[in-house]
Amino acid sequence: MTARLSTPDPRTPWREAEFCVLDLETTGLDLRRDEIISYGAVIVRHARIPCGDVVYRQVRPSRPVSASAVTVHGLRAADLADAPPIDDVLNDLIGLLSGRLLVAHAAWVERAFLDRALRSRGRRLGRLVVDTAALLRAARLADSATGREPSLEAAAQRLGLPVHTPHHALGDAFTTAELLLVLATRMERTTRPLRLRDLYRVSQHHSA
Amino acid sequence: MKEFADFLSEQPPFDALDADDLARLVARVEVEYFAAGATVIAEGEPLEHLWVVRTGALEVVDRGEVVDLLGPGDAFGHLWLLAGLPPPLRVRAHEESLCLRIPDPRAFLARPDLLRFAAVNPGPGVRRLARVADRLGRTDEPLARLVRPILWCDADDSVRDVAERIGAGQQSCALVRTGAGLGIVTDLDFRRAVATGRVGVDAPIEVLATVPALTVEADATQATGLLRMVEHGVHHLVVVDAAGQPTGVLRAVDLAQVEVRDPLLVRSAIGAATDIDELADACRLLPTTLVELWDNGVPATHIGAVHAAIVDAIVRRALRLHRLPTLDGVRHSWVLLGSLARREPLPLSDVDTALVWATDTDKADAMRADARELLRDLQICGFTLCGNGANAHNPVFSQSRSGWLAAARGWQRDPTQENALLLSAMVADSRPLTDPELGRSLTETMRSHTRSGQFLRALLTDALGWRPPVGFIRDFVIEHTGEHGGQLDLKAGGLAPVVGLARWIAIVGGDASGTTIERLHRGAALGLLSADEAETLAGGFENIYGLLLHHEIEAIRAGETPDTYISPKDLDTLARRHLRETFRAIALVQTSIDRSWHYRLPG
Repeated sequence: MTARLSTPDPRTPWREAEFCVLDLETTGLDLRRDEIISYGAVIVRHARIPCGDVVYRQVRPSRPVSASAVTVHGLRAADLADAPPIDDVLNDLIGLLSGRLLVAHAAWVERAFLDRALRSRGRRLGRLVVDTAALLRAARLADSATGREPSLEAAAQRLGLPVHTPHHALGDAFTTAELLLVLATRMERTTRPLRLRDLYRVSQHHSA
Repeated sequence: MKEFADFLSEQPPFDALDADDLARLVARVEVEYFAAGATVIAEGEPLEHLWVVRTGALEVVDRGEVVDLLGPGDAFGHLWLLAGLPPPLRVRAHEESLCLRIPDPRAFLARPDLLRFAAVNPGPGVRRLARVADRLGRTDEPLARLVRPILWCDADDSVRDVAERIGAGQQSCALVRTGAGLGIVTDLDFRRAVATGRVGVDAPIEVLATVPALTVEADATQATGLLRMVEHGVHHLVVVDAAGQPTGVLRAVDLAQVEVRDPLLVRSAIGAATDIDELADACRLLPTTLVELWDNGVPATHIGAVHAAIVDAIVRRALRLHRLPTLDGVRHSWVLLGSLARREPLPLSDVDTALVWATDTDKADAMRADARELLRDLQICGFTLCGNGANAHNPVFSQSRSGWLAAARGWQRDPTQENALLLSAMVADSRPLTDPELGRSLTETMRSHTRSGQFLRALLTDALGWRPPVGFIRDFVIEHTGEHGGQLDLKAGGLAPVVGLARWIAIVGGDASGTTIERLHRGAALGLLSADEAETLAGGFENIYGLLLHHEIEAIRAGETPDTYISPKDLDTLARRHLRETFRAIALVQTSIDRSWHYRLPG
């Protein structure tokens, strides 16, 4: 039995909670076999993003980076030769995620990779996760016709937000964090105070 | 966070920072998102951050009225952070906006001197959306209704105890009676001395107090209170009754209307300048401030007084920043001449200066070289020196005390000698900026009895030489040809006749102080003018000074170089008629004084 990482009380108003907004780059998209090669983490605290608290790390995978993945994020095996293996960064990841609510864009990808990585420590993610792609669908800001996850970049542009280096784990995590601020602020129009469980429910209801 | 680093590196005040400091800056940025209508900065709460708009728009709300819109790249709050005053304005999101919140960058940058605060778009005034006509004349209201009760403490109360009582009473200062007189302790003293550890919390409050505290009379106007604060760069005044007893406290925040804020901000920027370049940056706020004051309906003569007080502060700051090797070793006094001395400059006015030193010395040339250095600083700050040579490095205007006395006596004895009258008149408009006792030697001889009737007559003839243009019945005498064809020189034709007569009154009365209007009223008290004549001339001065100031303000607003020429056709009918009547009335007084001046002289 694996122990879940601690998460904040779901009744906490979102403006009083801490979030960890995470984005991963991987060797490919096979959720069972591919591995994490970099992660970017952005903290949201009191509904603000402190730019000094961001984290970006690269990880050396035990399998090659697929050609299609390289064309997306540009990271090759040679770029990662000096990076630590995943086991060396797990404590850092656990520290980032404990006591915070995980936020990711198309979060099921992050959940799958993280849970698999955490298994070696007998841990897994908390039950509550917020997915900005789902929040976009809920706000009818996603292009539903394609059937695919709404593009982070396109959503940010549509909302007039600055887009940070796309397809870079930290750049995408930061854009995702901005998306969270906007979408949660908009949800406050109808739900006040907006609590973590509200974000989670909407996220669940509109998951892909 | 390259996106923010790139973005901030393009916006003042951050656009001169190097890459290391930009990285430090970005590490302190917090990103916050505001729904339309949400409050970004609440009114009256001390600021600990400045803000930069990243996307969207914020609106600045002054007493319920939107006075400005801030767009991407605009910084807000820095002025209040620098001034240490709570903002008297509310800022709220005009639409959904992403903003960057940054703590006081001076605290963590390696090169805070590269912050270009003065280059930040000053906002309100430049893009003001609304102007409020009902503010006219408000500064003439008595300050009584703004006075707050006094929090008294004893000289040996502890700093900690007084700080607690100030906090508990929601005050920002306390008064203390000391052996040396009435003292004041303000929140700024706590921040400067206690927070930095220079004074311990158990020390007696007396060591923190400023003695004597600056006072203002209870029946004074708000304008007077403001002017005193600007002159001294303070945010609190002790209000005293007719017997000089403290009755309350006046705070800048309570005077916190637009016309109060901006001069105090310029004043804070001047006080905070650590080198001439920073001082020059602060000086660039001056023209906008004058435009602001005008837009807020502050009376013209009051704007002149605030302007003069700011220039005083600039010259004093320049003197502190620039070590002058020879002058620093000699007792000397810097004296302002001309319209700044009378505290009625126009935005265009030159800075005219003179220098006096106490004892004869062979270092005169070295002292003049030092004076030239300081005047160069003033030029860097954007000021023009006197085109007629009234500058402190000119040997005619920089002399020892005995040199000045001898020269003035010579002019009085023989007014026909070259420039005697011109120099006498120039010196009569003088106001010492440093070492006033020594500086007054320029005008000491004005009080002597060696003056002949011939000298006073010659000065009067000179003053009456400035004639208002009244030659035509239906229209003014205007320049017929040249650059100013069709225009009227309001300074030579309107201001100079009144200023000249008032200066003559100052010389006859032996008192160089005061504005033109104050001198005219003194003239009436001395019997040199009838009360009616004094009113006529004072009213004329106010009218013409107001027209000239407006003319120059509009030139600043349009980004043009101001001049003193106006086209009568640009005035509306009423203003034109009023101006014509003013000219005629001034000319009548001139004629009457010309005939009867001798009978008017005091016994």
